[in-house]
Amino acid sequence: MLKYALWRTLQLVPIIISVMFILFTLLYFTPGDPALVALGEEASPEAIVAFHREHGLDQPFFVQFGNYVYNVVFHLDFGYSYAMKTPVASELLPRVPVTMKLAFWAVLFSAVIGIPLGIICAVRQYSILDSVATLFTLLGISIPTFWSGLLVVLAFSVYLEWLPSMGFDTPAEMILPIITLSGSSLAIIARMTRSSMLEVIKSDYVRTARSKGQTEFSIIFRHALPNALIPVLTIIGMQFGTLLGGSIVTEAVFSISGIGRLMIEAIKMRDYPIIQGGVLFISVAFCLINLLVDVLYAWVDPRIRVK
Amino acid sequence: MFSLNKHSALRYTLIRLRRNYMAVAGLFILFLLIVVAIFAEQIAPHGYADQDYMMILKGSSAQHWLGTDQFGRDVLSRIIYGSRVSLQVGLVAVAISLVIGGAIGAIAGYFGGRLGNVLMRLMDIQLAIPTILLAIVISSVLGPGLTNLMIAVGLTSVPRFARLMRASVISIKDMEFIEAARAMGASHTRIINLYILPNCAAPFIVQSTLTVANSILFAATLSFLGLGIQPPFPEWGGMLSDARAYMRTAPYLSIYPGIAIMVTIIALNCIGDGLRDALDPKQKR
Repeated sequence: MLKYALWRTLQLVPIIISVMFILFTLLYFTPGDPALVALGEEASPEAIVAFHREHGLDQPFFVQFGNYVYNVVFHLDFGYSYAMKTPVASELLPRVPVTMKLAFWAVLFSAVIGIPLGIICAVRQYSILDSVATLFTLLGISIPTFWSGLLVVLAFSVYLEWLPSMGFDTPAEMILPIITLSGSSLAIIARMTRSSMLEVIKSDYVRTARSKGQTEFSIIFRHALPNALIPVLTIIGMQFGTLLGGSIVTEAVFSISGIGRLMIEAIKMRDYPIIQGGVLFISVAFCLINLLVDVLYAWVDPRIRVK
Repeated sequence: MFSLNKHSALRYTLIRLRRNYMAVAGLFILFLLIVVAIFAEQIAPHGYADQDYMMILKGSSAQHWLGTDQFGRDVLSRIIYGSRVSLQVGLVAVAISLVIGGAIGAIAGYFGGRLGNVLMRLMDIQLAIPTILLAIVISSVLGPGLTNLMIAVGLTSVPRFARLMRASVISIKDMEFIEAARAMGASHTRIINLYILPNCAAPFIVQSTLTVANSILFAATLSFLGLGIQPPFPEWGGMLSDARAYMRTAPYLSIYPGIAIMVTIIALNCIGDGLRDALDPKQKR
């Protein structure tokens, strides 16, 4: 088990370095000189040369990339924001908890509502509740996050004036962003739980349990559910990544100062080191969560360890 | 329409699809949307950039059915013209990911070996970056504009198609009819194009439909964040982004373009689900 976990962790290293390489290359070849962003369009040639030397921009491509990886890995130094004239880490790291908190609550909310909803729909297949839930999950995957954000603000902040439309500090401020962000994940988790549960309920061992005279409660929760939840676990892990990405939009709608809003401002100012740092951070978090899910998976389902 | 072989798989698929009311309704809405996009000039009551300074931020009226925006432009006309962007981005982006992803997956699946491994590892790396983020990075590198939007959205779905293609090619390539074709001296290209691809079509059609929906959502999201289409040309996501400033004075601006997006995506998702059931009768309840 431990060996499997270690092996999976090691496999992450080349993937993360490749992600860094892709991001670095993309932004390296983007037109526009960072010196002009930092110093203004009228900077003198000498100042530009000095700026390049100071930030190592006169070095060959692979040396620059090597330095970047070295600094990120050993010093948690993501480079230097040319527009804000501060280290990226000092802009990025204070905002990490905000985005993490948002994504975490959204995952929790969509799992806590989505899984029971899926179970009920599977157990009462073709009931009215099942049809209504199917309709709502279809809406959930079809409504863009930014629009559902606008709608809940219109309803609960503008008309009813129950909840604030900005910020993410107090519990009241957290409700609307979490509902907005979790909408599509909730729908996907509910759909996945339903179909996975339906498959398990029809399997032979559940029929055996039923013919043994087990109670319906025991059949659903002791026999069927543990097996049905395995694929749902994977989906939840993948949703965490989607939600970290989706938090960009949610943060924009609710003016929450997390990584997402930082990145949007960076995009407007063409401040590439911030974009690079933000995407890298979210990708690494995404990889780690998938790793955690994989290890959990192996713990729950011993067949995977053997492979 | 076109004549079909009496017992062809396509014919049975269409028969099964026709029984699925949600899918039929989805197809009907999609058809309407395409007509609206093509004939936008004839259907829209006003031009998409026509400004009426007497009618700024006015709600529904006989002259402007869905009201006007902050420049006195007709919202209905802008939604009608906006369908062009959404449908174009949806279709072209999927074509991009289908061709690139399909080629990578087919090569990786058919030839396998080291090349196949390298290609699929590259796809794994891309999957490590959440898709919406990748689209944001690519479009911020390429800059705004319709073509760049299509490329950015298209590239993000490449790994999904590559994986799907590889899996179906591997399941087919060792079958006897492929061996027979090879024995008759067919080239690799001929085997892939004539024997393997048609047999992979079913999962591809389903995935493509669902990806069109996803691409439209992505394009709208990018426009909402200011990375998509440049004004004055209307895009549904961009319209919603502008509407945020007028949520108190003109809330309808935040509603109508969203309904357009939602209806389009629901239609495509229903078609996709319907096709999946129709193409895979075994899965049918």
